[in-house]
Amino acid sequence: MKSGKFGFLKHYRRIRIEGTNLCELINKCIKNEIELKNLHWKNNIESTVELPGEEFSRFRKLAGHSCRIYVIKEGGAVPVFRSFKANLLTVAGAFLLGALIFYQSLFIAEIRIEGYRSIDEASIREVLAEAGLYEGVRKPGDYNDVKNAIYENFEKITWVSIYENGRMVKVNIAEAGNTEEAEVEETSPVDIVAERSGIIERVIPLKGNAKVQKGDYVNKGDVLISGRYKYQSTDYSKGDDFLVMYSHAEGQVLAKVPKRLTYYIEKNKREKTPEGKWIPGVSIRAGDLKIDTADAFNRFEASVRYEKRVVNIVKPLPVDIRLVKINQVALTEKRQSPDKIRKVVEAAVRQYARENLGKDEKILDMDVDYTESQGLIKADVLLELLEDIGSEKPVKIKKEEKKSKETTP
Amino acid sequence: MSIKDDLLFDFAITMPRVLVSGRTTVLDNVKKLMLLTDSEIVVFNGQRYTSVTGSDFVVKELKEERMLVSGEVREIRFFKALQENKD
Repeated sequence: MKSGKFGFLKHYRRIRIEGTNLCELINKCIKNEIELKNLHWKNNIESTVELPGEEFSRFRKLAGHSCRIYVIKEGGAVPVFRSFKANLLTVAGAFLLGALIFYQSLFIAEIRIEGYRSIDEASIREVLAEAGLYEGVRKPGDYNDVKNAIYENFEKITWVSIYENGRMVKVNIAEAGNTEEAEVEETSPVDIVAERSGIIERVIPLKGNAKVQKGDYVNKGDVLISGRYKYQSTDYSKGDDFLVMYSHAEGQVLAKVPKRLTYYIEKNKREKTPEGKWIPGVSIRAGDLKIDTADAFNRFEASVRYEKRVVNIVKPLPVDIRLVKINQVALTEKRQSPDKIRKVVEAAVRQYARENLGKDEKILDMDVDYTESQGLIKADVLLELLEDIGSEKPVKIKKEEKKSKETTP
Repeated sequence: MSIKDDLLFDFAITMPRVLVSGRTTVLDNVKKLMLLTDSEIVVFNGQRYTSVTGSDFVVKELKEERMLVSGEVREIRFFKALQENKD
């Protein structure tokens, strides 16, 4: 059986009929094949009925002046569209609101990082931002590049998971366990040998016999601290012969070694001199929309841009507003003074020392030789370093020695 | 039911035909509505009249000579007009 209504979309009207001759009106409807539904008799002069929207004018004609008709309610698609038309501004506002809600869902509002232990969150965020994942950016969809960037920058991270939860992106990471091997006492016999040639300045043997002393010149590979001891046995059963004992040599051997470094410095320095003219402007970025008034009007051949951020929000929509000032500048080239070049080289050498020299190591002397070529100045730096040149080298136990040990009475 | 009765039942379009099921009543061959209140409905079928009495009557649908009525039915009566009235 069909429902009492005329279908979900079909237009219908519920009307109230006031009059005494209801039956006559209904008989006219039967005769003219007008479909009626939900006919309620209220009292002798009042009834309600529903009829299709398109039949209403015919019904009204049939009723004539014998009764009064009021439309109580309208339903179906037609009145809905009619009300849309009447409230166009409201509908447009609702549509814009919906569009805005949808549009803002395309951008990342928050990034949450979990699972880090030894790595600090700021450095992870820095790497994420470099890979293009930061608050306010459009959702990339594919996070493989971001994951690769994390793996490349943090060796400790063994697993990364990135997923979206609404406008929030969750980054879960797992760091490797404490992979530092427990310090086990090294028992394999080694010698401390010279890693490079130099003049010995100081020898501090912690284990083993020092084979060199201050002022000795050593070549690469020379034994500096030996891991072998000769001792006379006090064990009566073994006799009183000299035996060899092997140990893991330890110690520090500081030597004066030469080191050559080469730096290239630009002969001329480019300078930007303000010319007094400038353009003010505003840079606005809202979602994907970017407007930069200063860039649009910038006709200067050379300029310097200054920005001051005034608004930076990511919710409900990423909006970044900056005040911009573009100064016109003249580009000039000025030859760098020797004093300035010397300072640059010294700074570079200090940088080298910070990065490469250990606690007791230092620069003893420095000599710089400058040569000029087209556009560049080459600085050859010869350093005399006090450097730890010792490195461990495993000792091979010779069979003869073993044999001699065994045969010694 | 014989074939003759069956045909008469299907094609007797001026005779009352009523189907009652629970609170739903279907009146067929409705040629004219004589009386309508929430407790009584009288319709003319062409040769006979059908009267349904009860309570809470609502005409759910009225089209193509069929009337679907919802409400509690207490009594159904069939009658025809007196000969004098016809003249």
